[in-house]
Amino acid sequence: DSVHHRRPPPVCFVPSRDHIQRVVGFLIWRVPSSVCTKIRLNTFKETDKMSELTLQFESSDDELPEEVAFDASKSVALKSVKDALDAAKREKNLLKEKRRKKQQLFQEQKKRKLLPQELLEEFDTKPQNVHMENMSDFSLPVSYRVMRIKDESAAKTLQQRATDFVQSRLYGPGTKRTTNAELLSLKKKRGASQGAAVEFANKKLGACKKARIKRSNKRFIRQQKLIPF
Amino acid sequence: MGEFKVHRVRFFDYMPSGIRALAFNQDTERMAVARMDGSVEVFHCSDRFFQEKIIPGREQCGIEGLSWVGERLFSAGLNGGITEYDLTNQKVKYTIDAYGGPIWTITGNQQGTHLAVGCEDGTVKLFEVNEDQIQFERNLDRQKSRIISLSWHPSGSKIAAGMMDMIQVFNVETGHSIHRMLADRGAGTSRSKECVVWSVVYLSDGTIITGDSVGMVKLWDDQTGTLIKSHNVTKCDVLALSVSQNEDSLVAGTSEGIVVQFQFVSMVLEKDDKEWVRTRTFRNHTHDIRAVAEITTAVVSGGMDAQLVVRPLLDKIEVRSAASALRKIHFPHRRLVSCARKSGLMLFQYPGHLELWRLGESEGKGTPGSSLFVKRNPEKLLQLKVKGEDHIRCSAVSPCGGWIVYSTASTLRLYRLHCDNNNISITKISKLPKVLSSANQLCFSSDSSHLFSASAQSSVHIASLSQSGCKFVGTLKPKSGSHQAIHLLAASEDGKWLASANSDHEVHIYNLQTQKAHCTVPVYSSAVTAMGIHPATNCLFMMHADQQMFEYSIEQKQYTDWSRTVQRKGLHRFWVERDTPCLNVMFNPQNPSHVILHDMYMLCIIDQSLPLPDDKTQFYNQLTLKSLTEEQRKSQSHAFKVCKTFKDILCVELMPDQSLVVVERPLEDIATQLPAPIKQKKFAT
Repeated sequence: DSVHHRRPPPVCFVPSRDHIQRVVGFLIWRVPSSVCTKIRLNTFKETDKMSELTLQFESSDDELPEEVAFDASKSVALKSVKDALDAAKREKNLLKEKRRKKQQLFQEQKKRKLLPQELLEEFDTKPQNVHMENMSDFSLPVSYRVMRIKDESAAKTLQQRATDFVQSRLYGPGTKRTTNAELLSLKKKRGASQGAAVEFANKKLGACKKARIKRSNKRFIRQQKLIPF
Repeated sequence: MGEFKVHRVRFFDYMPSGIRALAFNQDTERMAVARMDGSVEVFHCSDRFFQEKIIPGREQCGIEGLSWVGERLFSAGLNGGITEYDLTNQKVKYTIDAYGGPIWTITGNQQGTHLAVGCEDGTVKLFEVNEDQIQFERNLDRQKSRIISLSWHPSGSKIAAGMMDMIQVFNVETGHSIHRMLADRGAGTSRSKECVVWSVVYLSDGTIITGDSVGMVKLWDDQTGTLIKSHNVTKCDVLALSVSQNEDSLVAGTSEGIVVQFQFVSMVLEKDDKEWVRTRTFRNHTHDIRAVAEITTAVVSGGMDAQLVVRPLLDKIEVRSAASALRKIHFPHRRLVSCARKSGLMLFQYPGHLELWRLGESEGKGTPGSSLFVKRNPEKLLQLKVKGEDHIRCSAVSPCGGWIVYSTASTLRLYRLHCDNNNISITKISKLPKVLSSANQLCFSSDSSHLFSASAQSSVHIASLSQSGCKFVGTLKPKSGSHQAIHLLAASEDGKWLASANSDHEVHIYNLQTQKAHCTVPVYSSAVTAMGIHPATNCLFMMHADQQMFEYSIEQKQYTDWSRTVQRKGLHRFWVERDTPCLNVMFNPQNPSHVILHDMYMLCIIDQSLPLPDDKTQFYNQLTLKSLTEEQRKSQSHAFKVCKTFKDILCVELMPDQSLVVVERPLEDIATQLPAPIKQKKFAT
């Protein structure tokens, strides 16, 4: 037998319309991006048809491969592109349809929520029968005053807010403040008769804090049993 | 002088309130001071800064500014209302709501016709000052941020407002804003916070001077609306500004406690081009200065350290006198302590409550200057809280210790006290005579049978006290004279006479048996700070704010010989130059010639039988006398025996057992409870 130089067969399936989803990526030409954008390249799925084809391959191993005309393959390729575009468009339309339906549903629900139109119209035209009595009809004793409760409390919080503003600007964050004890201790340090810091010299200062520390020390010693009874 | 056992009392935790605002009245030479607790005090600048009038405050007052309009005094605060004060009766006349939210500043124009207030909601409201009231006139254009400070142009046609991050100049007639000047926020951390223009001053030549929270004093031109010059005075805030009457000197108070003076001088002698130059720095405060005022010859400043500092400007003073010394006013010029001599009880008056203490007991004897062992500690018997928001104006405890009375601006309350060794019971006297509604001063008779209440129109109501309660007896009215409020009352030991002193320097003496006016002491130019009636001679001893003393015989209706001698000879220089007033006059029953006085820094016994010192004698001679022999002592000693052992004295009382009670309030203890001061970096600390 003579050795045939085998050309790899131009594996060009003839995808029918039904199998458009299962296009396998052997189409070898570059697709300009404007033509189609949504050709999905699925993963290879083993199907009966496929196995048939491979069988076909195997069976036709000895024969010369079929010659497929250029025109035919061109038309097939174009068709597949067109199909891809069509599919994309269909998908778009499907989504649009869904959205429109949802919007309609919302409208319906909103309409249901609102009061019926007639009732609203009725409110607009009905005159205000209830109005405030003339305040001068009231005669209160001289020492009484009328004041709304919410006015009173609103005024208090305004004053409190103003006080808080001044407090925060003078004593709040960003101000460099120190304690009176430090001020007095510094004065003593630089003064004529230099003495200990005010916290140590003045027994009254921080007396509660010192008492608390003393008590907690005692407790600690007792707990740790540092001093034998 | 004698030996006394002294009870040194330091358990009166008196806390003064910080100063928030100052207002000087040029015509009457009075300085109005507003404190953080809402109380307003009026000081007489030419009478040694004596605290003439005190209007007590109330809770939640939030006073922010004071302004004089003629002789009327107005204040405004964060509660949104403008208050006018009745200075004759020392109380609030009325308050009207400005309806702009919290009010930050109030200022009157030079013409005395209008008041402008700056509100939280961004409006400047103009009020017309009428005869008896003020009336809202209109708002100027409303702005987006709050109005913190205001200043009228002397002509009254323009007003400058300091706000958040900017200064606006308004045309008063149209109400529209003429200029809008932006205040720089400074560098560093202050960039993120808004710049608050705390104070603004408008000069007649169109210069606007502002002090802001960045620590700058800036000068702006109101024609072009631009910045002329800016001076960096401090790292923290410049809180207050004040310009002198003739606009050649400006003082700025800062958060650090320093007062900086700028003067409008020409840099080159004899040249006319003047500019504002920083000249002097005064460091008399430890805490934030919230208010400054420049009076004719001095700079007055006050702030969170609660002391009023008067710093005379020596270039304005011709003669060196008591007026040219630095003066610091710490304590009020009224008595806050009253003593039940016969039962050893002391009543302390706080703004919102009263405390009754029993004195402790000691045992043993000691050498002069030593401390005795305390056998029984002083104990607090009672704390009486005031109902309502007003602060206490005056209070008293009867000499026997059985009655306590206090008065606020609106009410007067009387309590009966039963004090056994261990039990204390107090009952309120509910049925009080209607006239006893509010008192300016209260005093019990020496036998605790009557209560004297000084009220409106310089009159005194008398009420009798007994087991069944309190009954109105009569009213003492002066024959003629002013209607000013009484601030001092003194009852004689025998129950026959009552003396009253009012703010117009009038001292009236009443005969209690006839309930009629007996006589009037000749009016002296200085106010009475303390007075007492001698138990044996019934002479009225008066101490005045200028440190002069007079003794007036009630029965003879004339000054005593001793008093005339004192006036003829004159008082020693050291006595007259003391800068705190005497607040109490006491007598010693065992030594009729002794008069015991005290002021904030000294305790003095005047022996009327000894010769008076002249200018050449050594005034403070107690220590010297100790080292001399008996005969030498007799020739050297003079009438004034001064003891300076005790400091920061609030009150001195003489008990029947010849022991003295000295109530001290060390200034250091007050300083530890003040608000936080600014941290200042000092060299080598």
